Amino acid sequence: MPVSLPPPAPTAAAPAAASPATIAMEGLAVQLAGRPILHGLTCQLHGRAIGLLGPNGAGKTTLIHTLLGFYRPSAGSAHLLGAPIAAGAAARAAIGYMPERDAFIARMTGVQFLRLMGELSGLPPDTALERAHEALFFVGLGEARYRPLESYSSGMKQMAKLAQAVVHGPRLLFLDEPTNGLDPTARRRMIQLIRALRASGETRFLLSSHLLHDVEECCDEILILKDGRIAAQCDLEAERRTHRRFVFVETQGEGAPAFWAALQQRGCVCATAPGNRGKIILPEGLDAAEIFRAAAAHQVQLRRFEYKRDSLEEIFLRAMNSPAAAAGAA
Amino acid sequence: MPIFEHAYHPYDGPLTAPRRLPLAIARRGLAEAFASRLVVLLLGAAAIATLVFAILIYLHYNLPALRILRLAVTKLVPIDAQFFTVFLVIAAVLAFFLALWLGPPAIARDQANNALPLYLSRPITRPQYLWGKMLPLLLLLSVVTWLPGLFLFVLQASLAGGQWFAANLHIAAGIFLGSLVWIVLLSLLANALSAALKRRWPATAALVGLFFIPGIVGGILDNFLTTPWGRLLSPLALMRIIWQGLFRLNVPAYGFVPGPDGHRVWGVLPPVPAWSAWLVVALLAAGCLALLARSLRPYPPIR
Repeated sequence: MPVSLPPPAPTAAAPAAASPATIAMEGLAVQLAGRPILHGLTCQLHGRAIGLLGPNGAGKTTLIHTLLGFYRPSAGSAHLLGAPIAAGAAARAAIGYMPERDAFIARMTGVQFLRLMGELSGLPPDTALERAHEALFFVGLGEARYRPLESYSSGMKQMAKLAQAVVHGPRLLFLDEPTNGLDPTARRRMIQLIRALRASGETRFLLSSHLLHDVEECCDEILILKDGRIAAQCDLEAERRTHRRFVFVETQGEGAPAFWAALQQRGCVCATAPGNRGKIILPEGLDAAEIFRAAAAHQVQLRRFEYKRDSLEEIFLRAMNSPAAAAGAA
Repeated sequence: MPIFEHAYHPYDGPLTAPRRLPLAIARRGLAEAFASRLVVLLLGAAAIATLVFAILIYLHYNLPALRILRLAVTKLVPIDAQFFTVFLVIAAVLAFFLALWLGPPAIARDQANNALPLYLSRPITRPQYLWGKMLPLLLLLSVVTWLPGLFLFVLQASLAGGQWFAANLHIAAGIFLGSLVWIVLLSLLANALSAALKRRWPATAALVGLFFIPGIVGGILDNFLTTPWGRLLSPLALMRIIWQGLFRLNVPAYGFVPGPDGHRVWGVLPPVPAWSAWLVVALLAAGCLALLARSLRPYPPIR
């Protein structure tokens, strides 16, 4: 049972409800070497940018490999953009995959590598060559495209892996730890590229990462796994919208009780705490400036004013410590 | 779409039919093969061998040329099943070296560089990947075995006439089938060892060992147990038995056989039926396919 985070609602960027889910799983279970790894995962992910989180051994990579058809589910089913993964190779026509580990084809230049990958995805040879150049320029390897892949640095190889995943213009991308082993500059560049992919509105992706900050920057929906079970599924955009309405204030002045009462009259939910501190939940449509107006009207000083929202880290930790997740682990 | 945009664009143009996707792998394999000097050298040697055999055939029907060379027709090698078998043996040796050079690195390099997930996350299946990897080898081995073999047969038939052609049609079938068995077996063994051992040179060593060590063991078994079946352990002996059957030849094999006084003497070994050799080859091929099915995975199986 997932924890009771907000239900997955279509975000602004998400497609209409009638279109197939990006990823849909129904009781998806996987056993490896007789050991259950994924336990009947059921969910519908509609986001354009889905973050896959979980501690080591949670089953993130196994889930990606199963969705790619590398492992056969022991029970249940899954659909990618409406196509069943059981359809095999045909289901992978619109998919791109950036593996976690270093992966390339020996004795090739960057452009030869991407051309081959494009052709294997079904592009005609001439188109594959053209798109290979474009993809390499897109990831910033334009100047290095005629160099052998073996001579690339770790960061360049990581970019080449991203380029091969997008060369055929997939509709769904699987990015497994894309920022692994990158220095801060390269990591920033990778995040920018992933955000550019999201902004293009032409592709959706599932991003698996240990780095919550990366996921928070790139994704609009998250799925958290723990011990092969769904610990949480939440729409990050909706979370952000909800929690942006929390305001923490610290007041000083005799008129504080009247100030709190005035805010309540305006529809705010207020909770005071010792030390003249308080938390205000603003209702829909009420501007934060109202707080300042109320303070001025009641001659109250605002010594502290900060928006507070749950960070992904808090959501993640809450999911990890939730009784449901603990029960799943047990 | 100009490259200076540096932007992501989807693709919604025409796609290649899935059955043609392995050709992309094969094209790459062929390009890599022709970049190797050794491959060009071996192909050149095959061409020279074919030319020599073609000249031998031609001389049979060109008396002025024989006069110039001061040769008598009777002194020339007769153009019969034995003639084509000799050509096939030479072609098979060249094919073996080609397979030894091109086969072991084919899959091993992909395994070593974790490339299988890249291939298999695309709309190709494992059999298609294997087909793409085997195709260059099969093509190049065909170029040195049955293609020139059939060319020589057609040359001889065109010079000797329809009667010779009708009487020796089994030779053409022997050239084609005999070569096919050899090149398929070589390709399967080379690729299976490449996939299983994941490194080029161990796979090369294993391929050499597989062709020669079982032959030695089989010979020892034959001599100690005075049985003819030990030969079936050797891929080379298997091919000899199969080719002899296809070319309708009866060349005896020699070894130690029980003598009249109970001691073992050097003599003609009892023949081994051709079906047993076909059976062992089929088992070997099945073993290779099983090994490939086990090894060709995007990620190693968890145990």
